[in-house]
Amino acid sequence: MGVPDEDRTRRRLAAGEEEALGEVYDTYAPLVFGLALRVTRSREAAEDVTQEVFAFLWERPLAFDPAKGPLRTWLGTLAHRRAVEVVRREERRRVLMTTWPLEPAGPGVEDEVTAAEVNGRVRHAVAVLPGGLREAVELAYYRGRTYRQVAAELGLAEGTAKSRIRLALRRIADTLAEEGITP
Amino acid sequence: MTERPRHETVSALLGVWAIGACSAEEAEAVMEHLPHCESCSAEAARLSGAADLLGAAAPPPARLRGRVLERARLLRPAASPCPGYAEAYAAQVSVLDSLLRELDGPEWTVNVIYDWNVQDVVAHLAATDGLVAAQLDVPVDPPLSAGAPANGSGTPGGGSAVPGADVAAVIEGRTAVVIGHERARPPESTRTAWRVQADALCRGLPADSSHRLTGVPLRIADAVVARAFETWVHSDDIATAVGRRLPPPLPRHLYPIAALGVRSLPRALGRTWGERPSVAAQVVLDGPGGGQWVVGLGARPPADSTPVVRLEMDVIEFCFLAGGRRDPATVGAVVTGDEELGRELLAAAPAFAGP
Repeated sequence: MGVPDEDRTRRRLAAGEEEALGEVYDTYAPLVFGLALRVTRSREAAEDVTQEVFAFLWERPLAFDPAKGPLRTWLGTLAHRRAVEVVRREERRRVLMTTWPLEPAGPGVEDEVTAAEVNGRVRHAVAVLPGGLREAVELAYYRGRTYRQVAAELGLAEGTAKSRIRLALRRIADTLAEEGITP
Repeated sequence: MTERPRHETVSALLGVWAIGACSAEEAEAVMEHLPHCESCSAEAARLSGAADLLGAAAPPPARLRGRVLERARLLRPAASPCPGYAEAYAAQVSVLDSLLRELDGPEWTVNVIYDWNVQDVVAHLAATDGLVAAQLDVPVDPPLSAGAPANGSGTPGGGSAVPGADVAAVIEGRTAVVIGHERARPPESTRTAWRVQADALCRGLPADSSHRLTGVPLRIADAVVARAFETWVHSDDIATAVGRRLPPPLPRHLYPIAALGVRSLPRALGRTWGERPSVAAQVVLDGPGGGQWVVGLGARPPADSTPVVRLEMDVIEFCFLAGGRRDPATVGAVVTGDEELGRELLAAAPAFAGP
């Protein structure tokens, strides 16, 4: 979306056109959700952040000024800020934050191209995992199961589920590192 | 956990910890251990990195869309459902609502026009909306005093109503009542009351756009477009007063407003037309939402429909002129043909602009 389009989007949102919000959501939800997930590491928290970000845009459409920058950057910045707030609220994240501080970087134009590329490679890295490893990580990560649920669903010992998930992540990290991709 | 978690226990948990697939107690154990163990920290960083990348590649679940829209609807209502002729009104109400939500406490007391602050302007809009609403048996608060000859042409650009002292007096009287009523309340209540009434008006509108309001020869469609016009112009007044930029109406909402302004020109000029023979005038309004019109000036349809004058200007500038927000002498317009008549038209355009 170019700036004239985004100005029109803002006017449609201000005019109370719910379809405009649906269109913005369809375009930017993957970006907002992905960013929130990276920061929060929790699908539930990422869903909450995504909901907050789009609800804020709808509630206060005039707060977004297309003259000051693209909608993508505005949404991305908001998503990042909210996600960091969520993380900070969570006491159990404190250690993580001090051990590896997260880089607060808003997404830029170039980032989106790179992100699409990275997404493709990540999906590929998951796809080439041996079946048993892929199954375990997909259930745990993409479908939000705990390792105990993964073990029960796949008929594995809990220790096996744990080690398969760990091994899967190591392989993904190795595959991507070979391609020069690091988080 | 009472004792420090063992290295082996934590090490085995790092993968499921990194993707959030362990219990809260296990996550606690991991984080307790990490600051004391270099090898686990390094491994945790590596696995977390992979989890980050997985996260970036994970699409939002399909059900989230519905949840987001539902939540949004709770925070700010969409434009009210209404007949097609009222869409510009429902939209401009929504835009003003958006603008008012941007204001902080002190901004509500900024002077806008006359001796009205933001809250008073919103009360004035509610007052004039209420005059239309009451004629459609939509309840208004405070209730109208008995016998008030409600008109609701609601200038500026109030168009085809006969602009009489009675109508102006009714609007003025109602405005005074509502401003008095609202000043006793917090601005947020005024915003809500105005919005609730506007939405009720939208829902109470008849499907038939030619439905005539009682008492005055005014089509409901014209009355409602006039309300859209006034709502927009006053929104712009408010935005200007608080130093914000209000986007113009969308083209499809601007068009009926501009068209009403153009159709009002003959009547506006009628006051000074006298015995002159009828002639045709062409009005060209540029920009999205604009258009071209040929209007007859004079008591009867003109014998010759060839325009004797052509007036061309920006559609938004024309609307602000008709709304009494531009000086006819200096507003940007190109007049060709009978220039004197063109200047007369420009001067007459704001004839219906009121409070």
